[in-house]
Amino acid sequence: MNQAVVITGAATGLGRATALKLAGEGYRLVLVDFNEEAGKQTAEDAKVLGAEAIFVRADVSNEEDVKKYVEEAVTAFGTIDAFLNNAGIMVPFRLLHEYDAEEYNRIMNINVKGAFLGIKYVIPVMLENGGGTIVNTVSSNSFKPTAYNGVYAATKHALAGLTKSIGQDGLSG
Amino acid sequence: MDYQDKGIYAVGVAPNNMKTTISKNASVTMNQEIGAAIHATTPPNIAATAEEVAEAMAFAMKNGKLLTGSIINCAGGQILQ
Repeated sequence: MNQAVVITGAATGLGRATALKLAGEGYRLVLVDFNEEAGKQTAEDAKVLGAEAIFVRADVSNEEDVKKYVEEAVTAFGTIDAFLNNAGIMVPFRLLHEYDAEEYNRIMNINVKGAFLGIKYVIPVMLENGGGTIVNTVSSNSFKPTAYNGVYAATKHALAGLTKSIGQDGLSG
Repeated sequence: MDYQDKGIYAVGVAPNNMKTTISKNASVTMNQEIGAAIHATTPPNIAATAEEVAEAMAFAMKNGKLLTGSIINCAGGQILQ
């Protein structure tokens, strides 16, 4: 049985490109995005390449939506072997004091809380089914922040830290 | 319980369009205009396509056990670190 992979942010960009690459290799795909039209198109294109693929519309920062895409993945394919935690947003460069709090919350909610929620609900499925791999899309801004990009850089530092922490559980004994 | 013992691994992939960050070495006072110009033109500027980053994503996914806890920094189809 081919591995089942969940990809968030699958409608466009890196998520779509990765979905189509894996589709060509025979993976079973659960494609998640807020953009329903483009997400469905990615699923259709994956099927043309020979993959089994479903699309689930979700706001990754909404806990109920996250539960839904995890449940739909398990319903469709029985497990989640890999989780590509890719959804994220960026905003135009500006000085930090020019961000308003609402915009800050939106970026944080999608880039950090969304990634956290995905991991939170995928891990129990992996634990039940013998393990799996989580790939988080971070950024060069996780190492070397660009100027005028403070909030985005903060989110990507957070996600890199989360990745390093959970990825090393067990190494330190 | 730890995740590795349960076969769960986590890897980060960092798409990067520049090998170096020249702003750390620039002998000028940074302002928004200079920052934008550096971002746009700093050599070597290797624009990673989505397909190239997808290669790194797939690599990370297939090698989770080996790479767990790591961040793969990639640009233009190359893994930089």
